[in-house]
Amino acid sequence: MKSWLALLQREFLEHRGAFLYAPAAIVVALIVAVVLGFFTGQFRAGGAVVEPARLPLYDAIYLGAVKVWASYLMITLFFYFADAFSADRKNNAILFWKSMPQSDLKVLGSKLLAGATIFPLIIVGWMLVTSALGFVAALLVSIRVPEIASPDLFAALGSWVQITFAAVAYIALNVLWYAPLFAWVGLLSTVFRGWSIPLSAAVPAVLIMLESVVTYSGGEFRSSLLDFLSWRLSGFYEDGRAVEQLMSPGGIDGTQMISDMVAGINLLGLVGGLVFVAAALFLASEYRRRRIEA
Amino acid sequence: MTGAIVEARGLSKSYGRTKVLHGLDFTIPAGRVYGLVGHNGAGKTTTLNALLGLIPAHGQLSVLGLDPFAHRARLMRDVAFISDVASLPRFLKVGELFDLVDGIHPNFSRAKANGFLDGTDIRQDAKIKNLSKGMIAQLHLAVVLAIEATLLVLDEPTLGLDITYRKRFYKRLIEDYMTEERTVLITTHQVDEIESLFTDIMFIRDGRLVLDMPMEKVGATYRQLIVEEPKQAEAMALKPVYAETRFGQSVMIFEGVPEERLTPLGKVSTPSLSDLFVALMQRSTGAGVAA
Repeated sequence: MKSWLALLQREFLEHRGAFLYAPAAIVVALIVAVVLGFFTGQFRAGGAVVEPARLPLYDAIYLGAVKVWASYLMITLFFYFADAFSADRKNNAILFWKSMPQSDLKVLGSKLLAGATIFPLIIVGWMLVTSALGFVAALLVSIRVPEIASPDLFAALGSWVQITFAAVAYIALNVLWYAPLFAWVGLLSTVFRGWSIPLSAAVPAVLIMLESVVTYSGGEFRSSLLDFLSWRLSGFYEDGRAVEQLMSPGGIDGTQMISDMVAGINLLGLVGGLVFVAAALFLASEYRRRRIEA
Repeated sequence: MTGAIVEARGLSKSYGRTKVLHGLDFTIPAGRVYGLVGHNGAGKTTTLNALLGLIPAHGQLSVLGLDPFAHRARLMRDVAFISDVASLPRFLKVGELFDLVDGIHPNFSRAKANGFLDGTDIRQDAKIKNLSKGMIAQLHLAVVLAIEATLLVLDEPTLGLDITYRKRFYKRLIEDYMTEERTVLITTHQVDEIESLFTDIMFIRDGRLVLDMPMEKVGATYRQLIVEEPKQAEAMALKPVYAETRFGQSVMIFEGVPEERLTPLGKVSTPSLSDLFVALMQRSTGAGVAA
């Protein structure tokens, strides 16, 4: 347990920039934008766009923030795995890490675990910071735009609980659903280092092209691999469902949102994806076991 | 396999069609300080990498009773090593490095590591990437010496260090670190500086061991003779393994020739390791007595 915690700490120290400092800069930029918006009166222009009678502003801001942070997390995790699985080879550091009594499988497993736990948790932390900032922003907007009612603290608190509950589930399910993509780029990174990002797209593209050519029998080009990847990458939850709830008289219902998410998940696809993750992790560790070159 | 720390039989390694190690046979018992000496590209680092389980190799190889490649992680609990290139992770601060190693390595003592940094300019809050090459080497040595290991493998450990620190490091290695249970394997090009530390010496050339001998036996087997001018032909008749002219003097190295046969021919001494190394390397090429 102690060694796992140390390995997770190592991942945090090495990659905190993308998950701690960059989001901090984004949040600071948001604060500046809100303050500037308030003092320059720029909220009024936005006030003309929204429909104050129907849209609970705080809920909309927080839901939007959840979507942005979840997207940020997925993109950043993709780049994290593209780097982390080969990061030890920078400056010959792999020789140092291999002098430690930890197997290659465990070291790579700790990277995977960090990507599935501490980094999403940090982003959830930023999401919560943004939720507080969102309340202040809604308050300031209501001051500047009289057509918009100021947010009620207790109503906002109720929405906060519902949205946070659903957001945590949304982020967790996203991490699980897209884990095969992360494992794929991680596996490529172990072998090809910086080329993993273009290869992660190029390899499927070549396979799709080959499949299309081989199976072509007149008419349209078809590829079952392309269909599968399109389905996989389209996710499991339609954003429109959240907007529907936002606009409904009852407001956001976190439990209903989670039910919608779970209903949208293909269980076989999820489990199959995790099996792929395990296989990719094992292959990457076996490759790493045989390599010491920087 | 016996209770030896390291036992290798027919250890071979190839990279593609290039054979780097040609069936090495050697045994390293406990409580010894072994020197592994060879030219660049002779196979020293490959040998060490095989011992440390960093690369797969052919032949029989046992380190502390384990197959190193199959059980590297288990082996590293009792083996500490420094590679011949700077390898400390640059993104960490010194204190963070100690924290991590403390968490990852069950046999690491942070107090000892701090002790080894005493008297250096390395601060706990310093970023490793900002340290000089010499300071990084000092820090790595502090980490390695703070690990309770049965086998310590040092591949050019003092490369880039000044003479003061080199002497201090080897003094502490012998006085504070070395025990009867511990074994140290060192490769270095600065053999003359530490030859008094070695209990055993191995010379490697083109992936083959050309010498594997305890130091006391080296002294009894090899002799250096500064030959008096008129007795050169007589000395050559004793078949030196190496002969050269050094500062106008004729110097020869003999293997297995009794001292009493050499004494009448000039001044007899034990060759330094570097002289012996040059002699045996030259002999391997067949150029030993060309001078």
